[in-house]
Amino acid sequence: MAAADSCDGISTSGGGWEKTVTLVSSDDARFEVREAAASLSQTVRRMIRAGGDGGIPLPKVDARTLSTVLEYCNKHAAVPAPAPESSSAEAAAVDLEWFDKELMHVDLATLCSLIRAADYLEVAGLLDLTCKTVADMIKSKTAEEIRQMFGIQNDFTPEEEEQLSRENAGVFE
Amino acid sequence: MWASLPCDLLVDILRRLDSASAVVRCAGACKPWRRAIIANASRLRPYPDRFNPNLLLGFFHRRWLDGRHVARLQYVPGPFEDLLSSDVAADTTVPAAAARGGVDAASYDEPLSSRDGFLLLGGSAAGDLCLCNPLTGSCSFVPNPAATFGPICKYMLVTGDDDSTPGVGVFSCASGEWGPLRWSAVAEEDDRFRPYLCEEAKDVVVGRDSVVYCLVELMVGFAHDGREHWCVLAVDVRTERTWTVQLQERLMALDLRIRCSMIALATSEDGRLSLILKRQGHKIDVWVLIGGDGRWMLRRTIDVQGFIPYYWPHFWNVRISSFCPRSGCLFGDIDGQDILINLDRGS
Repeated sequence: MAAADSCDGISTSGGGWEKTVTLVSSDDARFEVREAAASLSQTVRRMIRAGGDGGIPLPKVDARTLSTVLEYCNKHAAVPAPAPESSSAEAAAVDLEWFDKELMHVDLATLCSLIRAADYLEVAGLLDLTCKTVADMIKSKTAEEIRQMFGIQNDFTPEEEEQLSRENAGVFE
Repeated sequence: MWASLPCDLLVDILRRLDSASAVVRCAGACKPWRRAIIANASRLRPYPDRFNPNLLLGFFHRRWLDGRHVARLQYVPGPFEDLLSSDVAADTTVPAAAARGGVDAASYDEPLSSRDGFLLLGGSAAGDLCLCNPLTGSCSFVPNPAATFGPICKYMLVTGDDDSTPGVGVFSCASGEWGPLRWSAVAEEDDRFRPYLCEEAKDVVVGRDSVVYCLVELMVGFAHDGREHWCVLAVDVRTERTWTVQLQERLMALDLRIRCSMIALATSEDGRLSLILKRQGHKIDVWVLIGGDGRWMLRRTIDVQGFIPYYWPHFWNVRISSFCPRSGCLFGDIDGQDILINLDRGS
């Protein structure tokens, strides 16, 4: 970590000396990542500790999703511990926030697989980010809008729906 | 794809909604979502740190008794306690046996505490604790925190070292593991004092901002004037910070021999710490803590005399046994006759 921050920020994809691990997605794509970044995933961290060679298999994550997750991990693992009151630390935080926002500019299907991946890989920060993003989308929507947005079948009978709206009078306006 | 999202993840998302009405609208989206929301209602409250004070199930601490450590669970009163008779508790252990593949249900024979519909069962024969929801019949098993720190549900652990000084282990919700054991602020400040935890239900409350207050007694270590001092040990569950709140000065100045039975903790409507003091003359003072600097304000005095028939004999004794945070009521009895006092209305 201390070595990484002496290089200038964004694209320090590891000097040759930095320890890397290989992650293998469900569709057999191989990703070489810095161990520091991969360790943001508690699942991977445990597997690293358990040892083994020939790459870490992640059968529940496809290549496309995994590359987004790793983009997140690389970015977040590159951030050095914030030095208080330094303007560069503040700038880094702003940059990170902007990065997170950009990363979440994806369609709902991608977001869904990201949530599943973040949960399976146990990347707490990413799980929080993705769930928050979806929660923000849901926040101001009606039940019908939520159904449309997520492509959910309305499985309530008209009678049940009638009863629901009576029970929740006020909430549905 | 979204309709098939695992329940846990759905709850993870919904937890981040900041309004209850949004959650209700989601419950109207489809049946699987509705079921998920109803089953996880207690997790869906807008507590940003995931600490749900209503799930505080007990205060554990170790006592030094007769030369050995005794692990004790401090009972924390919950709103359902009156409804849960012991035979209800016995019934709920039946699904426990089924869920566990024929474990001896009878070993979970001791209801320890109940809160928000959950029931915590323990038993002398059982090594761990059983947390069950009598309404759904679901049970989960947690290791006994008195014996081990395992990643379990949300409650707090108070334990002590060889000197009987209570340390506070906080279940850290962020990491999902028991946090490090911290020594109480009391012990750090002054070695002469030894804090003793009270053991009654009325002595632990959860205030706003996820702060848990616990009444402690400071014993002056060696000789001295031998007086007992009372103060309130506060633990912020999020930051794991502990500090003490001194009791009202006037209360101390009265130079009463303050006994455990005379004071109780409660919370006001807005979640501030209140102190209930039973005075002579059948009056109950309600003090509210204002600000962080330990200033107390007398909120009201309730005259218990008004509640009892005039011909009642004069040697009766008011006992405060517990406080229910949800209704804001104090539960007690006058010579064995139950009374319920609403602190906010004073009735």
